[in-house]
Amino acid sequence: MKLTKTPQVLLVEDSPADITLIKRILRKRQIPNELHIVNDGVEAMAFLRREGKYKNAPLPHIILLDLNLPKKNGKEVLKEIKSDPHLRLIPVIILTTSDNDQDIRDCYKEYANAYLCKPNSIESLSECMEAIDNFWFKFVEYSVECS
Amino acid sequence: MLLSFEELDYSLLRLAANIVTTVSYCLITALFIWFISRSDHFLHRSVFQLLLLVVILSYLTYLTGIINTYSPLKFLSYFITIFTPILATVSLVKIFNSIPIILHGLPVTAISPPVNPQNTPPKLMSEDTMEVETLNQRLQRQIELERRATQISRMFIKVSPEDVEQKINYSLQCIANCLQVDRVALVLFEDGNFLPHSQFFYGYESENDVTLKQKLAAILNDNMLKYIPDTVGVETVRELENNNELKTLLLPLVYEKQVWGFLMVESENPTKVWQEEDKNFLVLIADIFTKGIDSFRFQEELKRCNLELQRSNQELEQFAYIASHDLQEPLRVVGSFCQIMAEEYGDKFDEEGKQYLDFIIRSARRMKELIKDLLALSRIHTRAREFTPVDCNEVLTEALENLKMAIGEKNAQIKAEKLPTVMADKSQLIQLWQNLISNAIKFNRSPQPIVEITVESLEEEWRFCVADNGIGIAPEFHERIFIIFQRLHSDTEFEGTGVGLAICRKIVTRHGGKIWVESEEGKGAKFYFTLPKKNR
Repeated sequence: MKLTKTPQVLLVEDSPADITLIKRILRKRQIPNELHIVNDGVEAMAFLRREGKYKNAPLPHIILLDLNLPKKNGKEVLKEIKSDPHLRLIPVIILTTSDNDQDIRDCYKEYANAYLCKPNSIESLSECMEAIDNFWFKFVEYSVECS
Repeated sequence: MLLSFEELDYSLLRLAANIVTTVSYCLITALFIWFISRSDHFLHRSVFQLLLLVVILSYLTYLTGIINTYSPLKFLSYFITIFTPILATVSLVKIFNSIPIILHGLPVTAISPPVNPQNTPPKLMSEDTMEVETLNQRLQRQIELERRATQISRMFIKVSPEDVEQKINYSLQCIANCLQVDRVALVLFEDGNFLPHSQFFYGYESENDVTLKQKLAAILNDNMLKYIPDTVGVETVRELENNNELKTLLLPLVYEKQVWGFLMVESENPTKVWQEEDKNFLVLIADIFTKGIDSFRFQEELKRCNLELQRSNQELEQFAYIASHDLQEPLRVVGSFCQIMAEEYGDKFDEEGKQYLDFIIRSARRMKELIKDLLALSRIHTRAREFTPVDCNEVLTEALENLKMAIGEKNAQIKAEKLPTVMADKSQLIQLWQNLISNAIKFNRSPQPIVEITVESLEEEWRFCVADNGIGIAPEFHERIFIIFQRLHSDTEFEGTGVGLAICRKIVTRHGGKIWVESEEGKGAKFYFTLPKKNR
């Protein structure tokens, strides 16, 4: 079924500039969301498994995952999510600067739901975020327990 | 005793005949005795002796005939009558048996050349059959040694790292077998010094290790090898007899006035005598080793250089790719936030502040372009695809499609003749045409830029030409324009990063062709490039 609640978005991103940019775009475009931010792969897994300070964290509807992360990189996080029977239901969107063929292939091999390259201009990034909102939160059907 | 005339006449005749025969046989006997005394050959001697006996018995027959004429000696007659046929038969058998030896032995020894003319002057077979036999054996051995040397030399024509050790070890075994020695060692030095680099041993057991090490150390310390002869010959082979147990031959491997190592053979047989041909053989093998190893080292060096070059090239490509990729990241942030600043806080700046902000935004944009082009250049190798048959007409159409805007803006006219099909990476060929045509239009101030594309069929390649009526290039810049980031005009005159032609050259080079320009300032330019007709 379609998403009925405010979309819970987990953004795994270490660059404060990118976080600010994305926050700003979501605000400017008035995209309804609840944005949770973690800065590395280890934290991301803790958030998803509700460990430590993330004991009361909600399960996100969607994960925006950067590849170049400290401690545990994006590909490792993706692999862990997709091998967890519970977490693998959550769509993972890779959002990265890399347009390397190998990276793209590796991510799809690990069942990434989409692979997006961070656009260079602020306009394109803004369009990209809107497209995510449009597609994933307005058209995509979610299984009952997620929605 | 009375004899009739006829009887007397006959007996006189028989007496005379018998006397002549006996004297002849006597002479024959004397000759046989002389022969026997001169001959060394056991077989020949025994045959002569038997024949001598037969002859003696035969003439005894006649002698008894003479005696019988006057007083018959019955006992002697019987004795001779019995022994003559027996000895005759034995001699016949003996001679018959020795036929093959006489037939085969004599002709070979008769024509065999001396083994080594300087050292053993030829002797006639009749004079010394044993000597000839020995020479014959040595000759056979020499032929065998030469055959083995050829075999080893053939092995070392082409040596690869995989089989070099195996080949050397096999050769050492061969040497041991050929020279009938117990141990063979080959020690190779590092370049220019006397430190063993690699060592090969045949026949050395582990218990001999200590003595072997001592021996090698002695050879190395004793400056035995430091004397470098002008030519390597038998005289450079040294005989060593440090203790009475082993007989050793030592030979330095000399190549281009440098001692590369040494070859050593050792025999446990204290009576071992080194022959001239043994030394010759060793010299030959040492020569084969040095030449084989030299070509092997040369090949290895070449291979190593090639690999090194490939690696450094790859590293450079990788560096360009990573650098440009990682450079983009912060640039994206600079550009984005400058833009946000201009949008949201623009009215808070005065004119000067706005101008500064504009500089930052422009510079970021320019750097973005430079990085994009640098990436494109590095991708010619990192994103290279296999060559396939590519129709150049199709490629040109696609390139023109991509340039539609620029062509329309400048009202350019593109003329092209029919183009061939070549083996190429299609997307790179599109990029090549696109860069050349876009330059032809861009660096053009005439009201209607005209670009003419022609092709000429040469013997082994196609020569393409992109000619324009643009601003042209002075001859002193004809080389420089193909170098990355080299520009002849300011950004305000003609926009660009100076990477386009560098990309063109890289693409053409990757395809096995050449690119150059013929132009004069103000007279248009002709860019030529070639592509091979046959795939490399």
